[in-house]
This record gives sequence, C-alpha cells and structure tokens, in this order.
Amino acid sequence: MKSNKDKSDEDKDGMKRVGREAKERMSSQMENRKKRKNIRCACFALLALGIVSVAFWGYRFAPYDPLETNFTQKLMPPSMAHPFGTDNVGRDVLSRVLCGAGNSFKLVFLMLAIVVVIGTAVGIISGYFGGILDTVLMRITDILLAFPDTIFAIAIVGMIGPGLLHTVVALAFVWWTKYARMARGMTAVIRNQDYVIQAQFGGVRTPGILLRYVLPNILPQVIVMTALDVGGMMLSLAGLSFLGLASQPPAPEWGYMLYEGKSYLQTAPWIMIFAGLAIFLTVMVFNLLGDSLRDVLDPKEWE
Amino acid sequence: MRRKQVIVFTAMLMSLALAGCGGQTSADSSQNGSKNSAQSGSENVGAGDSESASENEKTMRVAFFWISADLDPANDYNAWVTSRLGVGETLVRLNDELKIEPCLADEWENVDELTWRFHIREGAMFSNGTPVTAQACRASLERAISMNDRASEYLKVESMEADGQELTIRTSEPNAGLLSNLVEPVFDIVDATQSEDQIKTAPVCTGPYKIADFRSEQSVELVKNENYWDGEPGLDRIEVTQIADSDARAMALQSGEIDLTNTIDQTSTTLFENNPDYQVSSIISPRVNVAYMNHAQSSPLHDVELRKAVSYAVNREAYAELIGGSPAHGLYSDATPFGNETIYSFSYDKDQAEQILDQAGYRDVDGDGIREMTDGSQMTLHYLQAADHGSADSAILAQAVQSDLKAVGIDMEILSVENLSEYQSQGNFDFYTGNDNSAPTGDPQLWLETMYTGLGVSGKKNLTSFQDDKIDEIVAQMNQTFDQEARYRLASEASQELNETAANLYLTNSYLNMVSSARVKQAVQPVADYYFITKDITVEE
Amino acid sequence: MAKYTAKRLFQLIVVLFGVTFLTFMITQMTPSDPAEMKYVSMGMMPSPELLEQTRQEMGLNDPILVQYGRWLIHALRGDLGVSSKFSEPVLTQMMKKLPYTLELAGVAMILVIAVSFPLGILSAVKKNRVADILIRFFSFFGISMPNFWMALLLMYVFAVRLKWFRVVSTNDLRGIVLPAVALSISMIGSYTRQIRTAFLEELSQPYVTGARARGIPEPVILLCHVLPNAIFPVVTLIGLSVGQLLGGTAIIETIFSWQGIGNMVVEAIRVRDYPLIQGYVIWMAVIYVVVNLLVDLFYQFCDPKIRLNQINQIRIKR
Repeated sequence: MKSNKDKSDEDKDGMKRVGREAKERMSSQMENRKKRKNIRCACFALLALGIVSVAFWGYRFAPYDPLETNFTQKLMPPSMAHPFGTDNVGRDVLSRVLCGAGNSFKLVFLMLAIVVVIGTAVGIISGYFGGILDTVLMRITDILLAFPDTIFAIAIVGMIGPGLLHTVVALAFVWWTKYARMARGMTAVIRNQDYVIQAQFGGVRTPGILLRYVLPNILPQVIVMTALDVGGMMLSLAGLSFLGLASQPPAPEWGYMLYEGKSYLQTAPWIMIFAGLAIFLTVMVFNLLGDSLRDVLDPKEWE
Repeated sequence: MRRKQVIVFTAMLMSLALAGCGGQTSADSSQNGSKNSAQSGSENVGAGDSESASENEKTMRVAFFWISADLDPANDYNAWVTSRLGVGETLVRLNDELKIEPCLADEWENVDELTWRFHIREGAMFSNGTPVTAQACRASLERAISMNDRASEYLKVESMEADGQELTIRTSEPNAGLLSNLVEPVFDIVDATQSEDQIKTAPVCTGPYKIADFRSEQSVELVKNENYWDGEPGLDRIEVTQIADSDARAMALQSGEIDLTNTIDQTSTTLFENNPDYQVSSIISPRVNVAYMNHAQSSPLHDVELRKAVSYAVNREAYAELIGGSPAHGLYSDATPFGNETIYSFSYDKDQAEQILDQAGYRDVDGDGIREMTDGSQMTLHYLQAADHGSADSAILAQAVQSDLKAVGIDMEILSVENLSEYQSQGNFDFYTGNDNSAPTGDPQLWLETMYTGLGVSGKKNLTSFQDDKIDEIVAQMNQTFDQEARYRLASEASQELNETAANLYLTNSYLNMVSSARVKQAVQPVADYYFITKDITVEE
Repeated sequence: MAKYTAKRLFQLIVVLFGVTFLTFMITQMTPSDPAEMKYVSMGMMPSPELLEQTRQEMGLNDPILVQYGRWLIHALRGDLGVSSKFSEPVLTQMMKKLPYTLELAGVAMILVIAVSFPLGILSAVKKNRVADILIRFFSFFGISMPNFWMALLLMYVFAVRLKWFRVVSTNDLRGIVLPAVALSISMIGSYTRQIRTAFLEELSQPYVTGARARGIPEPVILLCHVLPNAIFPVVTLIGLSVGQLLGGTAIIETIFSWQGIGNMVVEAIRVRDYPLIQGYVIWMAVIYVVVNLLVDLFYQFCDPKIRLNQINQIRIKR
C-alpha cells in the first residue's frame, strides 16, 4: 500500500517536474518563435519601405525621361542601354516602371489615407455612442457593402467618365466601410472595459477618452488591415486601369502599362512582363508584411 | 445534428452550382430556339445540320472586328457588314484601282445631267431564287433612301422608273457622283418583299453567300448561295465571329480557332509574315489617319499660323514606321487616283515650326519650356483619342503627336474617350482622332463635301467649324463636272487648298491587311474596305 | 428563427432601398442631359424651348425624390429602361448575358472549392513542414497575382502556344477552362489560407485530442469531426467572394471575349449606355446582398448561437 502511495507521489512529482520543464521549454520556444516573427516582420517592413522609397525617389534613378519617345528605338528588347527594353513609341520601360511606381503609390496612399481616417473615425463614433447614430451609420455601411468595390467603381466611372480621380473616389467610397465596421466592433467592446468607465468617472472628457483609450487599442488592428489593403487596392486600381477606365496616357502607371503592353504580348513581351512583375512583387511584399504584422500584433487570433 | 445539416448544406451548395451550369444549357438552347434559321423560300439550312456536315464540305472560320446589331443593309452602317460577308451586292462595284465595275448592273448610261439609266443583268437572282428585276432594285433603293439619310444624300433622287431590266434614275439636281455613290453598300440590293423582321436577321440578297444563322454582334453563319449569278462560290459554309480586339484576332489565328481575319496591327503581322503557315495580304488603303483640328474661335487652332507650325512639327515618316502604312500627303490617301503627286504637302521640319511659332508670337514667356498664347496666357491643346476597331494605333499616334509637339514647346494633353461623338458635338476639343476612308465610294466629292462644307447642316460631318469659300466653290463645280479626269483635277485642287490653310493634320495612309492560315486560298485584301469575303476565297487541305 | 429571418428580411429591404437610391443618384451625376440625348440619338439638334418642353414631359424638372420614386416603381416592374446600344430593354439584355457570367463564376467557384480544401487541409495537417511552406508560398503567390496579367499569360501559353484551349471563349470545356482558372487563382490562394487557419483552430480543440486518445483514425477525425466545424468560416467567405467573383468577371470576360455581363458592362461604359450600366450595378448589388443573406440564414439555421456580430467579425477580417 505504502509503496504504492509513494510511487504515486513520486509519479506526481515526476509529472510536475516534467510539466515544469515542458512549460519552460514551451516558453523558450514561444520566445524563439516570437523573436523569429519579429525578425520576419522587420524584414518585410524593410522590403516594403524599399518599395515605397522607390515609389517616391525612383524617378531620380530613371535613366531616361519616361515620357520621351524615340521612334527609331521602338520595341527594343532588353539591353545594356535599356535594361527593361523599350515600348511601342520607344520609351524606356525601366524609367516608366520606376516613375510609374510613384503614380501607383500616390493613388494607393491617397486612397488609404481617406479610407482609414474616415472609416476609423466613423467606426469609433458609432461604436462609442451607439443608439440611433450607430444604427443609421451601420445601415449606411450595409448599403455600401452591398456594392462589390470593383463594381461600384465601374458604376461611377461608367456614369461620370473614366479618370484616375474618379476611380480613386469610387473605390474609397465603398472601402471605408470595412474600417468603420471593424473600429465600431472593437470600440463597442472597449467602451465597457473598466479603464474606460473609470476614466469616464474620473472626468476625462469624451474626445480625450476616444483618443487616449479607444484609439490606441484599435490601432494595431487598423495598421494590420491597412498593410493588407495596400495590395488589394493596388490590384483593384491596376485592374481598372487595365480596362482603360482609370489612367490616361501617357502618364506611366503600372496598370495602364499593362493595358498598353497587352498588344505586344508576343512581339515585345518585356513591356508587360516588367510592369506586371512590379505590381506582383509590390502586392506580395505588402501582403507578407500585413500577414506578419498580424502575427506580431495580434497573435492569438490566428494560429 | 449540426454536422448533418452542414453536409446537407454542402450538398445543396454543390447542386446549386451545378444547377447554375444546367440552367446555362437550357438558356442556351432557348437561345438556339429564338435564333433565326434560314429565310423563307430557300431550302432549310438551320443550325441543326452543322453536325451532319459531309466530310468534303469546304468550310472556313473568319473573324470580323465588327458584326452589327442587325443585318438590315438600310440601317446605319450595317450594309458594310453584309457587304463584307459576301451577302450584299450593289448595282456597281469598285475595283482595286477604285474604278467602277459592273456588278448587278452590266451596262449603264448617263443620259443627261439629271438622268441615269441602268441595265440589270439578265439571270441575276436573289438567294431565294427570285429574279432580280429593275422593279426589285427600285424597291430596294427606295427602301434605303427612305430609311437612311446617307442614302438620300448620296443619290438626290427625284424619281425612279423600272421597266423589265431597265432602271431609270432621275435626280433632283445634277449629281455627277451618283454612279460612284451607288457602290456604297447601303445600296445593297435586298429583296424588299420580305418582312422587316426577316430583313433584320436574314436579309435575302444576291451575293455568293447567304445567311443561315445570325447572332447580334456575335456571329453569323453563312452558306453557299446556290443561285449565285457569277459562278460557284468557293466554300460551302463560313462561320464568322466578331472579335473586336486586334490582338485577340491575331492570337485566335495562331491558336487555329479561325482561318482568316483582317486589320491586324502592324506589329502583330510580323508574327505571320515569312511564316509558311500563314499568308498576309497587305495594301495601302483609302483610309487616312487624321488629327482633325478645331477651326472654331474657342480653339487656339483657329489661327492658321499655329496650325501650320503644328503641321511642320509632326514627323509623318516616323509615324508610318510606328503603325504601318505610309506618310500622308493630304486629304486623300495615296491609294486614290486623285492626283496627290501634283500637290505640295507638309514635311517634317522642326526648325520651320519653331520659326513660325516665334514669328506668330507663341513664345515661352514664363520660361517653363512651354510656349504660351500670343497674349501670354497658358496654352494646352486637347487631343481626343478614341480606340478604333480594337486597334492600338490611334493611341500610339496621339502619343507620338504629343511628343513631337512637346519638342517644339507646345503642350498637348491626350484624352482617351470612348464617346467621341459627344465631345465632338459640343466642340470640346482642339484635335480629335480619325481613321477615315477618304474615298468611300471611289469618288473624291463625297468625302470633301461631308467633312469640309455645309457647316451646321445635318447629315454632314463638319465638326471642326471648317469654312473655306474655295472649297465650297470646288464642291459646287464637282456637282456639274461629269468627266472623271476633270473631277480628279478638282480633287487635287481641293487637297492643295486644304494643305495651304493647314486644315488638318493628315498623318498616315493606313494599310489594310488580311491574314489567313495557309489552307485559305485567294484571300486578297481589297482596296475598298467594305469588301472582304468574295466568291473566290476557298480552302485547300 | 422566424423572428430573426423577419429581421434580416427587413434589413434587406432597407439595404435594397439604399442600393437603388444610391444607384439612381449616381445616374444623376452623368454629364449628359437625357432630354438632349433623346434628340441627339435621333440626329437632331433641338432648340432650347423644345428641350425645356421635353424636360417637362420627361419629368426631369420634378424634385429628385419624385423622380426616384417614379423610377423605382418602373424598376420594380422590371422596367429598367432601354439599352441605347442594343436598343433592347435592359432586362432582356441582362437575362441574355447573366447565365454566361453565372456559369463562369460557378465553374470558378467549384474550382476554388475543389482545389483549396485539399490544399488547406494538407497545409494544416503538415503544419510547418515542407508541404505547408510550399502551399503557403503558392497561396501568397496567387493572392498577389494580378488576375488580368495571369489571364494574358495563361492565354499565351495554353491557347496560342500549346493550342489546348481557345483564345476567344466559347461555351464549352475548351472555352471555359482558362477564364475560370484565371478568375479563381487569387481566390484559391485566400481560401487555402482561410481553410488552413480554420483547421488549425479546430485541431487545437479538446475534442480532437479526445478523439485521438480514443484511437479514432486521423482521416476520420479530419473528415468527420474537424471538417464540418471548420467549414463555417469558409461559408461566409463564399458569400463574400460572390462580390469579388462578379467584379472579377468584368476584366476576365473582356480578355477572353466571354459573352457575359462583365464584358457587356465594359462595352456599355465605352458607348455610354447609361441604362445598361445602371441595370448592371443594381443587379450585381442585389445578387450580392441576397447571397449574403442566404449565408447568414444558413448560419442561423445550423447554429442559432452564432450571432450576426460574429459573422460580421469574420466578414471584416477577410
């Protein structure tokens, strides 16, 4: 009997020990994984930063004027003089890709700025105050959410005519609802947290609460979503440009370059290959960044 | 419990997806049902018998860049499609020198200034076997005139008389262009005794092929016209599909989906030239790529000096290299016999352009490298560009002009528009792009008259506020001039006048091409681009 | 359940009102005057007096809400106007083209489900192994690929070079494969990732550990226990992807000359066929809203505990 009991105690001790060790091992593993995640995230952030700086300063490194035509040099394959070849009127494709980055990004950032600010603000207000205001705002987002973004953009462009600005406005018009929804949902939870209620009792005024307690808590989510949206927006814009509904020639813009290059798919594939690659890589980097940001900022939700 | 429901739902979802496809088939077959199979009178050639096609049947698949919404030749420009299909034929037709040839009429006579007499070919039959009489022609022509402004404008008919095979046309005023104008496909002779609905979907005409099946803006199925008056057509069956995009047409040819198509962009033709699997037939056409200039007060281009400078600044030779074709010399394409070799035309001269601009007072006042208006205000010229038949050429030209103008310090902005006519009617442009047939009927008068006279008159296409007394006078003379050579001389005078006033930027004479797989024989691009499928085209395995 | 359905139906009506109103307002933004267009299309240049009179007759001078009401009544009767390009009622035109688009979207969806489920499950089961890493990489690849670029490359390789498929799509297997693949690639990417995530979440649940302890074979656990639970978030995704799918068809149909509604609307934009564009937008919105309603109801039906909020949570996080 005794020996049995001893044994079971021993077992218990042993199990405790094993459990402790496992816990330690786990936590060090967790540490490692967290570290790896941070490093990966930093890498992607650097890459993204690199792409953005190309967008903003790339035109300085462009070997030629992206608008300058040279009829004798049309459709030249990649060479030392023109690393990405030339297009149908003899413009340097490398220069156009570099300068096109600026145009593409300016639009995406403009759109993101509009969308994130408006969406988050509306969401916080709606979620914090609730009531009729909330109902009305949410019904509005319901209505806008009924339009898939591309289709809404097509509608706007179809009615008021093609143009970059029209496209940006159209996409932004439906896109902000996504942020509003998310911000509202989180704010509704945060509103009932102890620290917010304490702050309310402590006499902190509403704007102060929103800015100091609510906003910082939803910011990580907003950032993750923003990073993930860069890719999506870029693809939406490029798609509309490709249909000839956004950009106007001769401004270099990636989507429009694809539109122009599609006629030369066989005879001068480099025109569209490089513009397509530029879009693809950019979207990929921002998607990876968004994904790893999510891992870092919000590890519980995913995996 | 929950799991079961999920499985049931998944099954539902799948079946829904499948039902979606099933629904498609039924929708499709219902469409088949509503399709218009063969016209009355002729033997039944419905879509159903395509499976039972015998092995030695000669068939060909063709892609057009445009198939009209309906096939009534009198409606809009539909006749260009029926003519290209080898379905519709006119009394007289154009050969490759743009001279008149007999077709349904084998003889004609210009009795006096107001009277024309045509003899309709004996033995000519509609595809349903009805003989083509003068009365039938008269009914068809009258129908076209009553339905189409263009048709009435072209003929200026006072009255028509039919007697056996003799058709007499009286005009309300001397119309020297009448004979030529009769080649315009709008005058396709159609059996006017059919119902209007039949004419819309399967008009009975006289060409080598007749319509077996038609889908609006999608496809046409043609079968041999057994009653054709001019020998046996080379094929039993032709499937014609609309493929609007030039690249798609080229690729469809490569993938073997089609055997024959036309108007492939210059760059893509390199894929087929020197390739034993394909043949390219290419010509300089009567079409001219023009950048029309706005002569209205609202546009800076109403100043002739600015127009001249612009005309010197553009490098037409280089453009011809870019998009194919040849540099244009004036209003009329070099493919026309209208005496282009006798006129003076602009050539690329950047220094000259800059000199004119300096002298006329268009100087760069604020030092930004861009010239300002004579009063020092900013000048930006707006160029409307619209895609034409799915070709990239007009966009390339626009960008080329833009860059040439920039080289002499003129700022130009391109607007890619799809609704060109809306902008045009509002006069909202400085330039607009056009790829126009400068001799639609092989005669010089028509084009000159439509584009350069009758400001504000409906039926004309004078959208650039162009007005020139000398041109008006030349057109008036043309009306009275029945001698062809004399008409050509008048034409070259008009070209000269337009060049002297730098009326428009005539950029390139466009080429036209027909590309076919090696099995297709006798596919030759005609100079007049409303011809395409002929009785001679055939296939050889 | 009934109460919930009623509530959702009421919401649906509100949303549909909003959708139609918004679409109507967008139409009001067109630069051209319908009265003038009426005459221009007949080749006439009307005088200002005549224009004014026509405007009066067409009711263009009425307050905007009155105009909307009148338009809505017509729309409810199925009268969305006449397409200027096809000179046919918009409804007829839509009915003719919609089946093609639904077919393409349906095939693409089947493709997405057929490919992403096995990949997602494999990826979850082999977490952090070579297969998982490869699948994750390729799903990122798919998500980041511009679908029109992909479409052109596919067309070049498989239609022009290899001649397996058609450049100009027809309604048969040789015609539908390429557009369906081009349309589905990015969705396969995102679905694979979602399914992987959903599976991983379920695999860490106690009931899985329990089942394993009871010695139930792994495939049975996966297919009979985990799959039914993991499928939920994915169904929401399907509802949402309808929007992405229908939007994507505009581009893909144009490239492959597929005679669907997307191709039609791009053409309609070219020729400024406003009634047709309007009809298109309304139809798309209605389809999208209704599909998502069905998804919500499906949830409710299967598990009333899942509240709307949670669905919205998933929706936002896609």
